[in-house]
Order: sequence, then structure tokens, then C-alpha cells
Amino acid sequence: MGILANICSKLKAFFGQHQGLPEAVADRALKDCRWLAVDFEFSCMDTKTAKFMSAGWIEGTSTGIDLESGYYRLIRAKGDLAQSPIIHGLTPRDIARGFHVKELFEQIMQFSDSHIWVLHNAQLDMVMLKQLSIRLEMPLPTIVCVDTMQLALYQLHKTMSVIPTGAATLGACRERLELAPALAHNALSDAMATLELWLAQMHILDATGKTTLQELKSTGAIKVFARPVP
Amino acid sequence: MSDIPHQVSDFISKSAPFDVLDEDKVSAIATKIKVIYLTPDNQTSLLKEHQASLFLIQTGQFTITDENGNERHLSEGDYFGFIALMEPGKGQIEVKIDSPGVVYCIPKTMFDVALENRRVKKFFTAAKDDVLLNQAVEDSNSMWLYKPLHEQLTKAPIQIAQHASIQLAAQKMSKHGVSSLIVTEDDHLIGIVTDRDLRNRVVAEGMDISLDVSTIMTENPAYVLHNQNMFSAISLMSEKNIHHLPVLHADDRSPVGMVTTSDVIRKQRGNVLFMIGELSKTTNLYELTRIAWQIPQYFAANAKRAGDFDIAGKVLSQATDIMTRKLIAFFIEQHGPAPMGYCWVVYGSQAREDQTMGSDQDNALLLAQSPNEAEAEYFKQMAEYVCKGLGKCGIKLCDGNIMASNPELRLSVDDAVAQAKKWINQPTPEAILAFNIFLDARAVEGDRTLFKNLQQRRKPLFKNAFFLAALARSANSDAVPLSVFNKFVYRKHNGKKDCINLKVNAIALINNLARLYSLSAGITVSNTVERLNILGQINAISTEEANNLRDIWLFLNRLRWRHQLRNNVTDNNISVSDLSSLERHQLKASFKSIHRAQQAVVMKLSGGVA
Repeated sequence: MGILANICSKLKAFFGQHQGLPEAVADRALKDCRWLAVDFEFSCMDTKTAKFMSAGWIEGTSTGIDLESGYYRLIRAKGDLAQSPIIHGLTPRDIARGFHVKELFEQIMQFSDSHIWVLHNAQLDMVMLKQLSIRLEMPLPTIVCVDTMQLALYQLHKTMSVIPTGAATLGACRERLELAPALAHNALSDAMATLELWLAQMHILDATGKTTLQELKSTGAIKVFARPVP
Repeated sequence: MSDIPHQVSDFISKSAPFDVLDEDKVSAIATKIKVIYLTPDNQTSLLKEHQASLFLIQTGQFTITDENGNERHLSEGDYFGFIALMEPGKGQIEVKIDSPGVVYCIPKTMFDVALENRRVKKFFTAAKDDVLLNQAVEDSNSMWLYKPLHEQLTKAPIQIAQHASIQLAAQKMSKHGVSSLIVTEDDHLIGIVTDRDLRNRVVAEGMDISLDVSTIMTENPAYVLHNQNMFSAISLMSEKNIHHLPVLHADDRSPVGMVTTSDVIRKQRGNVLFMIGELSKTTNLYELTRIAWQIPQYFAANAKRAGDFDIAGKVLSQATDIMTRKLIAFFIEQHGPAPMGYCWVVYGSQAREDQTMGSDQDNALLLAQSPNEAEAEYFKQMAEYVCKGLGKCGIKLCDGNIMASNPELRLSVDDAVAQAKKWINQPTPEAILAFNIFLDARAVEGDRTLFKNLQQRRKPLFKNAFFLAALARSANSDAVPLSVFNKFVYRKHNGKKDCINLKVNAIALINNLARLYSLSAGITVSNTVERLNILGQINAISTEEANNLRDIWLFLNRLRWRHQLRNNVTDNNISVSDLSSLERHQLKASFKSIHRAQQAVVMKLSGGVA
């Protein structure tokens, strides 16, 4: 292993991102996977100070997105929330009435094994989850994610050497695939928008319906996160 | 309890007909929806998996082929699969994915829940039968003029038996504050007594007030039945010049009310028809123009309901007719009577009685014979006075110079017939374009027998098969603004990108169709709705088709009137984003129907050569 690769590997380990896919899912065809599109809204973009404000997720399979599975909760927050509640349209009362972040963690971890998570820019959300797991002193089980943003970047790189600013946002990616504009800044809406985007991306990648998660790994869009308890 | 993403509930609640459902119902339906991304690779499995569903397209383009081989190209906001759900065993379709996209699968159980709403059911029934929602005419029934009288009568009739005294009758009238009484025998109408009778027949003549009221009553008065409408009542009152009209029950002829002139005036005050009366009272050009200039404001203030828009064009045309008649009368007052028989004829929208604020004047003078120099000069002056006067009243001068002030449009009946023959013998596309406007004509003032004579002599000429074929081809040259994939084709107007010219690309097309079939059937009325009604009645086209085109015409006409009055403009470029979801659906359905009707007319009259 080269020095650079070594550093990368250590960095990834630090962020809780592992390279290898669990054996149980590596050869699973995309069409046989159960998806959970996830999105969190944070009080700011700085992972050191950001707090969870809301969470949204929704399940899907190759037969469609199941709207009955839609889940959205506000997280009870303390301390300075900067400007974020305004952006997300939340009142202090909404925030005070929210769930405790521990409940959120427990609820979402029910999907860690059964589903492949789908996120647009997985890194931020998953680092935050990892930090939360440290704070709660709970393990972060192995979570396999598809990052629709990485996949979009992979596809963009094939056609252009310099990627224009803003070309990989959720809205821009959806627009390129002729999906309807979706409301941003709501965790469930963004999760839904991400899942639709993933279904459209899959159509381009996996026309045969035989592609496995392992085969998709070369795109950089498959990521594995975990933080085993020492 | 599951949570619904905002964009899902937004999309459903903005998609007609689901937009009529309350939030709770939309949520209940949304929860059970499966959202799929339909592609050529997965369509077989996904459509099988969700076969008992209503499919609502959010993005993508699809071609649906029904069991009869008919193709429909669908895109966002369109539905498929509902026929199979509504009529089990029917509605088998094949789906071709032209461009993959997101489709909402609404399971049958939830579709059935939605169908419990009358308006949702109506929407899908109309879509299934491929007709426009028959709402246009239904809404029109809410117009007071067309409402049955029994729905409008607020008071029971004040009646008196025939042998009661005149004094008792007068006391009864004072007590109830009415100006007339129904006189009855065995509770059946035998006469009426009014304030005027008491004044003229009793007080003025010093009659004994202890006599029977039947001695001063008007016997066997005119009456209307309770299920007739206000329009019938007003017509009868104007025709007989009476101010009180008893209303009888249609079944047993028992009195149920009385319509009076003051009832009519009270109703008319808030109605566009009020303007007509005001114009009629004017005595000079100044007064006429003063009232005429108030018409747009009056319309904007009073035409609020869909039903008002249905008669707005008719009222505006009547107003222009009255202005014309007034102007001719003012001219005759100043210059003496016409030296020969003449008829003032109007064309185009005024003839069809579908004028809008932006319509210009189209008119001509029909003369009893070719005029000599002095006669020609008289009619030249008359025409110039009337056309300019109409211009002063706000009816634009015609850019194409289709006006009586143009010497070519002051012809004798013989010359006008000769001219029609010329058109018919050389129906070039240019010629057709030029004389299309003359095919909708109506007499407004003067000797109407001249016009009738012209119409009778032109009627057989217009049935010429070559001419009709050329006209049919011409009628098909303008298309509805719909792409192959059922998407609106927009034009830019006033900074808005999503505009459609409703006049050129839709209403005129129906006018063309109605005119063509009418010429072919020898119908001489020029109003499109009336033409379609007659065409349906005489089976020149199927009643269903005629009613559908009529409803579409009324619907489109409403949209353009609303656009003009709301935005204070005179153009016909409506912005699709100003329409509700249901209206957008109806507009698409209308365009599709017009397109089909255009194809049919070419098949029928032009041997299929477009």
C-alpha cells in the first residue's frame, strides 16, 4: 500500500468509513436491495458544533418507494442553533417539542442491517451520526451507503474535466435527469428526492438489472461506515 | 402514523381532480401510494406488480395504446389505468416508455375512496368517455337568466277571489306592499289587478269601490310557468309591454308568484345586461359614446361568474348592434331617409355574437340595387358616420378594412351574390382566408329581407363540394397548441413564457368547424353555440360531438373573458400558470377533442386530404 493510500485509509478509519463491503451484501444485485433514503438537517455545517435538528427517511425497493414508510421527526435541541431554524422553517416551540436525539439514533439503527442507505453527500450525515454514537456511547453498526452525489460526480467526470460549481447539488442532479423540482430543507422531502434520484441513476447504471453493490464500488458511491465499540 | 413528503402531498393536492379533496383525504390516499421510476427495462414487472392501480405521471413521457389500437401520448399530470379500474374487464392498455419518469401508483382501494367524491367521479367518467366535463352548461344554469323561476320567486303570490270588493283588493295591496294582485276563481288565475287599474278604472272614473274586483281586472292575462326561466319571462313582458307577469305551476296551473318589472330591474343592476338598457336610452352621439366607454368597466365590475362570461360576448354584440342602430338613426335624423332599401350587415365576431373587448368592427352595407352617384354618396356618408361613430364608442376600426366605409363593401344584393360565386369558383387558400370572415353574417338594421334574400341565394352555392373541401382543408391549417406528447406548446407574451392564444389556436378552430358543418347543412344562423346545437339536433354531427364542442367552446370562452377582465387586457394570450390544475386538464382535453374534430371534418368534407 502506498503512503498516500495508507493515509487515506487511516483518515477513512477515523471518520468511521471502511473500504470493504460486508460479505453478506457485496454480491447482492441492486434490484434485490432494500433502500432507505436518509437525510438529516443540522443547525450548521460545522461538524464540530452542529446539532441534529430533524431527521427524515423513507424506504424503497425495486418495485417502488413506499410512502407508508415515510418518517419525519424534529430533534429536541439545546443551545445556540445559529440561523438554521429559520432556514428550515421551524419555530422554537417545534424544536422544544421534538424527539430526543437518542430516540432518533435508536430508531434509525433498526435499518442498519436490513437496508442499504441512500444519501446525497453521505459524508456529512454519517460523520455526524458517528459523533453522535460516541456521545451516546453506543456503537455505530456497519452501514452500507449509496451516495447519489458521488455517483453524479462520477458520471459528470466522464464527460467533463472541470465540474461547474453547484453541478452536484441534489436539485441540479435531479434536473439533469428530468425529475421534478423538489422542496429543499426538509429532511423527509430531501430523502424522498434523493431516493427518486437514485432510482433514476440506477436506470442508467443498471439496465440489465444484474449489477451488484460490489460492482458499483468503483464509482466511489458505495461507502461503508462503522464504529465498533472498542 | 407515517409522514408524507411535502412534494408528494403538494403534487397530489394540485393534481385535478384530487385538488378538490380535503387535506385528510389526500394524506390518507398518499400514504398508500407507491412511487415508481418507470423505464423500458422495468415496465413489465412494475406494471404487473401495480396492475390494480391508477397511474399518475409526475415526470416522463409515455405512449398508451388502448384495446382498439388508439394511441395517446401522455406526460406530467396525465393519468392512465383508470378505465380498467372503473370497468373491470375493459381498458386493457399497452404502455410504451418514450422517456422514463416518476409515476405515482394509486391503489384501487384508494381510487375508490377518491371516487366517493362526486367531482372526482365526474372527472374520471368524463376522461373515460373522452369528453370535456359537462360543467360549462351546468354552471350556466346558475345564471339567473337561465334559472327556473320557482328558484327565484321569494314571495308567495298575493291573490284575491273574483267576488271580493275593489276596496278589499286595494287594502290587500297596501297591506302587502305590492303593486298587483292575482284574481282567482277556485284558486285558479282568471285575471290580474294592478295599481294602474285602480287609478285608471276606479279613481279616474269614480267607480263604486264595493263592486267585485273582477269588474276592473285584466282578464286572461299572459303568464309563465314556474319551470320556465327569467329569460322567457322578460321576453314575454317586453313583447306584450306589460309590467306584471303571473307565474303558474306547470302541473296544476295554480298561481305560485308574480314577476314584476322591478324584480327584473333589481336583478339586472348587477348584471351585464343592464348596459343594453342604458345604451337604448341615449339620444345623441355624445350620450352614446359616454355610455359605451363605460362598458369595459361595467363588465369588469359585474361579470364575475362563469355564467356571465357565457353571455358576455352576446351582450357586447347586442350593445354594438344597438350602437349601430342608434348611429344610423342619428345619421338619418341629420341627413334624411335613405334613398333606397339597405341593410346593415355585420360579420365575424359581432355576427357570431362572441365579441370580446379586443374585437374590431366588421360590417358592410347591402343595397337594394346598384346606387347612382347621389345615392352612393349618401351611403358613403352613412357608412363613414357609423364606422367612425363605432370607433368613438370603443369598437376598434378594422385593420383589414372590412367595414362599410370601404366602397367594396357597399354592394347591391345581385353584386354580393356575384361576388360569392367568384369566391366559390376560385377557392384558393388566399381567397378562403380573405372571405372566411364573410361567412358569419347577420343583419343588424335596415331592410332585413335584403339580407335574407342574399342568404337564400348564397346558401346553395356554399354547399358546393369543392368549395367545402377547400374550406375544410383551410380549417385544418391551424393546429391546437399540443405537442405529440400531449404537452402544451407555448408562446411568449408580455414576459410570460407559458402563453397560449386561445382565439387563434382553439376558439377560432371550433368556429371554423361549426361554420363548415353549417354551410354544408344549409344552416344560416351564425352563432357558434346555436350552430352546434342545431347541428346536433339534425344529426349533421352526433349530438354527443356537438354537445362536447359546445361545452369546449363555452369553457374556452370563459377562460378568455376571465383573462381579459382580470388582467384588463384585450388580447387572447392566456398564461397556463394562471389556470387551476383542473382547468389545465380540461384545456388539454379540449385541445385533443378539437384536433379529433378537425381530422373528422377533413375526412368528411375533403375526402381525407388535409
